[in-house]
Amino acid sequence: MSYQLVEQLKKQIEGFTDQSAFESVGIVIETGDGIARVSGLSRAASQELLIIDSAGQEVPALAFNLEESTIGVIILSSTTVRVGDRVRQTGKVLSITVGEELIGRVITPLGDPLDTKGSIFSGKSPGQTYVLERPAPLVTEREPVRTPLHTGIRAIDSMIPIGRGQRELIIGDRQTGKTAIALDAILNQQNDVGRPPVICIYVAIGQKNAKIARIVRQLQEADALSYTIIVAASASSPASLQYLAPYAGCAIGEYFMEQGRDALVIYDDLSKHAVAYRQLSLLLRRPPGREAYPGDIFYLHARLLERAAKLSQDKGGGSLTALPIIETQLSDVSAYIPTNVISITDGQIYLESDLFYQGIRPAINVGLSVSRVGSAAQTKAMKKVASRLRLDLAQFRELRAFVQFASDLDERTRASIRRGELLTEILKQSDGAPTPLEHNVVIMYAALNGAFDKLPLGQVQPAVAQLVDYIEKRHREDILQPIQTSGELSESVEEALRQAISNWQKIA
Amino acid sequence: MKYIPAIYAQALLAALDNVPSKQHPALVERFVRLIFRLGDWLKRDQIVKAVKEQMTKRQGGRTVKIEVARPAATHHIQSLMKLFLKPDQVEVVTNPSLVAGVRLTVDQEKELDLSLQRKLRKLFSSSFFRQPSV
Repeated sequence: MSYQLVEQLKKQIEGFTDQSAFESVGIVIETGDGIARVSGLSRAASQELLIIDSAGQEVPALAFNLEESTIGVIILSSTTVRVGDRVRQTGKVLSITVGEELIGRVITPLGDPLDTKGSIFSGKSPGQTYVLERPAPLVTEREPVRTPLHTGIRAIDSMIPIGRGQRELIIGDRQTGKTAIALDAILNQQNDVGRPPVICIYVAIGQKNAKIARIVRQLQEADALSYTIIVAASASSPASLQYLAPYAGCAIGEYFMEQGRDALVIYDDLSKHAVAYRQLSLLLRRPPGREAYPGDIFYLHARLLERAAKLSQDKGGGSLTALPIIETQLSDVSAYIPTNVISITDGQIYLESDLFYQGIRPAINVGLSVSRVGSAAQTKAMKKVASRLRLDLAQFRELRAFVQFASDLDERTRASIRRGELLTEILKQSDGAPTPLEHNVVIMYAALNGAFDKLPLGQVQPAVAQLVDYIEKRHREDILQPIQTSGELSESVEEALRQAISNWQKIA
Repeated sequence: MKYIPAIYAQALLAALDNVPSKQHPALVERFVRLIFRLGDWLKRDQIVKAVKEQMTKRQGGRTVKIEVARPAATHHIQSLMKLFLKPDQVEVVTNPSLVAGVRLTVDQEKELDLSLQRKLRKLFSSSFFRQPSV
């Protein structure tokens, strides 16, 4: 047995050739906290991938700062690098291997698997190499956003509609349900059968390992991992990997986009991404600016989010939708990083702690939330039923101060307040239970046409569930399926819906 | 360290250029006191090395480091030295991690690695020893 192994090894070694020549080399002269300074390598390019030979291991690093006589590099690994270690150029920029095989996997920003399912790519399916830092699509390569991306959350799909190719920011304090909204968007993609399927990429930046594990389990149990990829750079990862994670997720999304498919990428969250970048910049002695962030902190996020687009038909018609998440401190949306990202994105979903503690979940402040794409990315059915919703809620917010004096108000004002309370109750939804488009259209239609007006507020949610169940069992083919497939509420379907609601009210 | 060794070396050589040679010993003494005052006395070896490198470079020479896996015989070292010119600063060190062979580093920029360590690293990182896919 050992003789056979030796013979096999001998055969393999016999074909080995090695040509030695003078090569560029650098020497590590300073290291610590995930960065290093390298002398030599005067021909190294910015963002070039370097290899540090440390204790027999090859440690990847990125050329970050090109200074007069040294290079500041960020080390892309937790491996300890020592002073005196040799550094070699690769002549390549940092890239990740992408392909269909990534679907259902949990990976690092460098493409290494973190789950227990073995290696991702093999000799038979080597995948493609995508550079992490790629230029955004040109203006001429894009077309307007028209196809909706349904999150399954009534408040969003009706009043803050998101389109495929849009960048919609989710912003709020800690523990207000930002990640829950993003996960509902992922879970709802399997409900949204009337449109092409969406590949989802969840990028965890600086998150707790327990939270990432919980998210993986949740997606697994809902069978959502069959169309989802998770890129994880947890809080225990080096700052360099936390810095690269969003770009890796974006590169994966671009792979699907350039194939003519739709992809959704969630960056959770860019606040931690900015902190990681600040750490690297300060360690490399880049001049600190406002709040100690480096001067190019805007560019850090702008170049990332600009890569989300709806491509023209000439370029395949694919799309990459981005849902960046930003965590605010004490609801301060006028802070540095939040204002930066708000100015980059095509709208924001603003979550408030006060609403959350009042029991309004999702805690979306509809007044401050906006989608700059708007109804262009809404189905005709939803546009039809939800057109009055924003106005009714705006009127309710103005009149809310008078709620405590309801007995002293005229009938019309009381009706507006009552309508606002009802709509607020309708818009509440459980976490992890997104509702498909056709159900939301039915619910909104019923609510705005007075089907729940006579019910006490505490009975509204059970009534909504009953109505949906009734329509699902008795009117799946004549009401729900037409809405699902066409996205429209035609006159015949509307008439059938009106009749069905009336029948339900009689028996409920 | 307050300044990197290269900065100290550059400053010293620039100062030496600006004064007559009679004043060089006094200038060097003041330089030593400066290093001590700045708290970099423990790094003096690195500073001296940087000064030597920059002086060599000024004279048109190269800083060459020859690493051998085992202590080399004197005649071997002498034959290696003959490869270089007079202004070149040549240092020979023993580095057992090379396993066998020799490695030349010129000006900390270029390297000619003829060691067995390099061959082994290349061998094990090549497709010859890749694990078959499952």
